[in-house]
Amino acid sequence: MTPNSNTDIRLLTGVTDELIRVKLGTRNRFRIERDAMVRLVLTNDVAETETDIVVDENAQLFLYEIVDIPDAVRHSRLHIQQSENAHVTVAQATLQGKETLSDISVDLLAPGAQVTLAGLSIVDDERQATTRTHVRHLAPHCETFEIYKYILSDHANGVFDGLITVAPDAQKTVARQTNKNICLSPEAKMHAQPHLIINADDVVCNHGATVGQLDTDALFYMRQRGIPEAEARQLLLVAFLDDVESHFADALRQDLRSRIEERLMTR
Amino acid sequence: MLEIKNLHANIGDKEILKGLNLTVNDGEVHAIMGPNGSGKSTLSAIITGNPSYTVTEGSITFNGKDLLALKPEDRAREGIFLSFQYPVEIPGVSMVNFMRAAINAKRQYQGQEPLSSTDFLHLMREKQKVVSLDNRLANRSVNVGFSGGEKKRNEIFQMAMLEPKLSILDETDSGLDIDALRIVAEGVNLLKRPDNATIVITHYQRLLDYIVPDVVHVLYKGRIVMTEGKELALELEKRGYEWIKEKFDA
Repeated sequence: MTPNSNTDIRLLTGVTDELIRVKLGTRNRFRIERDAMVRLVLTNDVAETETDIVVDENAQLFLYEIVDIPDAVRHSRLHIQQSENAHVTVAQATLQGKETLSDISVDLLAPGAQVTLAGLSIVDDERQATTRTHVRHLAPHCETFEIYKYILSDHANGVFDGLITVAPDAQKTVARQTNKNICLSPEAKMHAQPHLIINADDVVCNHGATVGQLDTDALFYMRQRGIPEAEARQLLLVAFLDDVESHFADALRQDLRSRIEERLMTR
Repeated sequence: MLEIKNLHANIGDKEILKGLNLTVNDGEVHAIMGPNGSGKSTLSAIITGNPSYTVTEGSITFNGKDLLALKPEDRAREGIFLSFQYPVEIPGVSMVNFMRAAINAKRQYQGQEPLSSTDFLHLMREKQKVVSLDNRLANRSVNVGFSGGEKKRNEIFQMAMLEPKLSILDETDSGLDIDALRIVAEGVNLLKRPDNATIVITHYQRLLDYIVPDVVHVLYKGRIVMTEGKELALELEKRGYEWIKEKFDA
C-alpha cells in the first residue's frame, strides 16, 4: 500500500491471513468493514503519526509495529473504535529508538468487543520509551487484555501509563492490565502507572506492575549447568519478553526473535 | 578428585563454614549428614561458586585445578554438578533450549562442535529413560508446573545429560515419596562409574538405603566432626543428632 493523502479513509474488507504492509503518513484513517479479518504491519518514516481506526461489527484487526532504528524519534497516536464483537490486537516492539511514544486509545462501544494491547521495549543509553494507553469500556460484555514489558539499561528511561475506565453500564467487563519491567542498571528508570477507574459493580478487573532485576537464582542455576553468564542473561531476558512476542503474527516472529536476541546479546 | 582444605566461608557477615576439610576420590560416594544449620547447603554453594557466599580462607582443588579461581559455569564445565535442593523455575525457557545451551556450552569448552538437532533430541530421549521422565516435559519451561518429584527427577536427568565427574546431591530426598525416591536413587546408581564421584547431602538416612555411601561425614557448626563408614548413618538415624551436639559442644 502507498502512503495516502492526509484524510482519505482506507476501507479494508475481506478475510485474509496475509500481512499487509502499510506505510503511515502524518494523518491516517482506516475502516475495517464488517466481518473482515485484516493483519496490518505498520511502518513509517515520519516522526509524528496520528491514526484513527474504526472496526465494524464482527471484524478482526491485527496491528503490528516494530521500531528498530537507533536514532528514531517516533510519536505515534492511535485511536481505535470498536463495534459489536469487533476484536483487535495491537502488538508493538520497540527494539531501538532514541525517543518513542506510543499513545493508544481504544473505545469499546458495543457488547462483545475485545482488545489486546501488547508491547515490548528494549531501551538503553540515554533513550526514552513511553507507552500511554487508555481503554474505555463503554458497553457491557467487553474485554481488555494488556501486557507491556520493558528491559532498561544504562541511563534509559521508560514510562508506562495505562488507564482502563469502565462506564457505569459496562457490566460484565473483563479487564487485565500487566506491566513488568527489568532494570539492568541502577541508573535506568521505569515509571509505571497502571490505573483502573471502575464505575460498574459486576466486573472482573485487575492490574499489576512490577519493576525488578534479573532473577539471580535462575541465573545461577543456568551457570551451574555450564551456560556462560552472558548467554544465560540473554536467555532469561528473551524469555522475559516471550509472552509479549507471542502476540505477533507467526510470519513475523522468527525475524523478531532473532532481532531481540541480537539486541540483548550484550546486555 | 576434590580436595578441600581449611575452608572458611560466610554469607554476609555470618561465618558458616569454619575450617572444613574434605577429600573425595574417584569412584567414591560420600554422604554428608548433620543437623539443620550446620552448613551442608553452604558447602554445596561454595563448591559450585554461588555468588551469594564468600570464601574467607582455605582452598578447594578439583582434579588439580584451583576451583575457587573459576567462574560457576567453568566449574560446571570442569565436571561439577549440583542437584539443587530447590530447583529453580525459569518461565519462558524450555527444557529443550536450556539443555541444548548447557550441552553445547560444555562441548565448546572441550573444543567439540555443537551437537546436531537430531543427535541432541536422541540424547534427550535416551537420558529421560534414566529417571522415567516424561518427554512432554521437554517442551515445557524449566521446572515450571513440575511436581516436586518431577523437579528432582529433572535434576537427575540433567545430571545424566551432562555426565559430571562430581555430582553433589543437595537434599535430593526432601519432598520425595518413596517411589520417586527409588527412581531418583536408581538413576544416580546407574550413572555411577569408577571415574566419577558423588556427594550426597542429606538430613535423613532414608536416601542412603538406596545410594550406599563409602564414607559418612557429620557436619556440625561448619566443620566435619566425624567421618566413618556407612554404619554411621544408621546410628544417626537411631540416635538423632543430640549426642553429636552434646559431644562437640562440650
